[in-house]
Amino acid sequence: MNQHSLNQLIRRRHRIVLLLAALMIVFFGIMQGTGTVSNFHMRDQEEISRTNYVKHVYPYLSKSEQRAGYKAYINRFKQVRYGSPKTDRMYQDGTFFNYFIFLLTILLGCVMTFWDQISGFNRLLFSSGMSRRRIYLTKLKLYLTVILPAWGINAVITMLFVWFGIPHHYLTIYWVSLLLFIPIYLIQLIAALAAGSLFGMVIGQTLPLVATIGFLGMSAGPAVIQAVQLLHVQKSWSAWLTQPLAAYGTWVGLAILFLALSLYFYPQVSLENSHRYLLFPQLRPIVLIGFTLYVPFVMQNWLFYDYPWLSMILTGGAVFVFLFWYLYRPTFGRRNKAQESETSPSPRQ
Amino acid sequence: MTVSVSQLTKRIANREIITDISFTWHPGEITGLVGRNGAGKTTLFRTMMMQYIPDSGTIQVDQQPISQNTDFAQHIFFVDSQDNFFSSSPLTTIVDWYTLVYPAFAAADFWSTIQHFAIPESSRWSSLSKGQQATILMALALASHVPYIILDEPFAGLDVIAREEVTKMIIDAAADHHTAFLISSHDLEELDGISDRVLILKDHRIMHDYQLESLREEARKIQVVFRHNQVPPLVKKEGTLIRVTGQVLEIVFMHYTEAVDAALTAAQPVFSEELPLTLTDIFRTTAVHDTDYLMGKEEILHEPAQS
Repeated sequence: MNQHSLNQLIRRRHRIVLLLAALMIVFFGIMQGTGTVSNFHMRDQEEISRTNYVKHVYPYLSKSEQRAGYKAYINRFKQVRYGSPKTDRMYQDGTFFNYFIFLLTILLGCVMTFWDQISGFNRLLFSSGMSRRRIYLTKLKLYLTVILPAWGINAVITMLFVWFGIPHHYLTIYWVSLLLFIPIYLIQLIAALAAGSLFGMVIGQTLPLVATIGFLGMSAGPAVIQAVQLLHVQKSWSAWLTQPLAAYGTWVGLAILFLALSLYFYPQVSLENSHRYLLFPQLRPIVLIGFTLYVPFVMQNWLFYDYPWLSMILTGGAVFVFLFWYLYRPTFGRRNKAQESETSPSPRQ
Repeated sequence: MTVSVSQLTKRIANREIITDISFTWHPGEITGLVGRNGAGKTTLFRTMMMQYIPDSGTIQVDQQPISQNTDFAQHIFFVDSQDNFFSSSPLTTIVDWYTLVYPAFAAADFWSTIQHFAIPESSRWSSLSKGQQATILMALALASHVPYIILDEPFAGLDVIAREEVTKMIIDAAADHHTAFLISSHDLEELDGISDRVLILKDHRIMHDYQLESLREEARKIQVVFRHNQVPPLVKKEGTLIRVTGQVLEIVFMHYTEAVDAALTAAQPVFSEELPLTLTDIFRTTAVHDTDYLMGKEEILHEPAQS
């Protein structure tokens, strides 16, 4: 088998998934474009009357805004600013960044590694004589050659809707910052794909994979907020992240981290642990300790509002007990059937 | 070209499933791999094919070690009959995959075999009967045109006719194309008819490696009734009791020497007859220490039977 055959094999195997993904990404572009245009036109209906402006808005405006007058206020109210560097977190402000595409890319990363593992297709791939590292890189390349151009089409579609759907005197496009941040959107997608693939190769069961990623995804925001509070960060971290250099650094760093971890683990995938929660049993202590510390850190005082430490200790204890049982399946004296080898599924003679 | 497995060891969940496995597999040779459930047969195949990463040991094709980076697909074929990925895939898709992985795969040969067995080309794997699935696996293996084919339980669940067909395909491939087979099966009768050699896997190791032809020259299976159930000491020492029916004992001698023959004659048994030695007998002889194969061996070997 050569590289060309491997490309073809993986392409044939994953083409339906990739085709659907590309269609969804393009569809999200249409959704985003039509959404932006319809939002703009809805503002016509919400336009405030001169009487109401004088009565309810004018007193609260700054001197310069008051001087500019009603028309300027309406103009500003209806103005669509595309890619404005002043927008908070502009690298994910709904211009070209699409949260659905980001989530979809994580999901695609999972599918990329997990599907072949759980379906047993890796039996053919790993027996083909191609190294696991090469198999991973081939998959990564294939997925990226679909996701990134599809995202490009998505961005062009969005842009076309905005360009033709919004009168130009109401539209301000900040081309420099848009072009500056386009590579960051792409790097974000690479990081998302690598992260998804890492989860897909480490976790071997469908529902727990979804639950783990879902929990980590939902808790990421609160975790960052807790960390910011804990570290007494004075300056707004989100403002800091809007700086191109910081955004590049963060996402390039994350992309490298996830890719490096994936390239480290994938060559070690051995099929004897298929269908278990962790395909690498040596990760059990790390997962156990990691979640035992992380979950209380995120949940804080959810049990007892006034006693955060008590709440955290109880949460940590419960997480530890559950995960210890789930990962190690202790049987306390009885033979551990869950950890028996899969040498033969047939009963003993 | 030979395949050499050397000191192959694989641990799963801190238990050694195969330990220090070594053997050489020659072209055109049909080798049976026999062992009880859990002995490590499937693990051996999966480790040989790099589906499992070995803990130690090497597999060599023509003295070239195979690893994750070696293109050994052109030499060895193995489809896991217990756990494959075909699911509800159409046969055309399965053929596409194998055409890409095995450089010499001849799709025409595959379809011709399928046609011969009257399996519709438009079938999906999941819609086929167990016998048809076994035929598909054989057809895939033979169409791959590799010199070495591993078959895991190829006769399991097959009816008599299907077994005969599969057996014929194996024998023809070995005779016509000099294809070597490594076959694990619990169906020792089928294996007996086709194997040149048998490896007996026990306690996760290869305990015995027999060339069946030379073994049959050297070993004997005797059915005997001793006078007053007095078993000569040399018979106890050299023989393995595999079955007791009333006073009739079936004893296998792996090394039937003149001395054993003389001891048997001197004992003047009431009745004595040589029976054809089968693979089942050999397996029973080697597996005799397992509890369900004891069949009173201790009584015969340690104290004379009373009756």
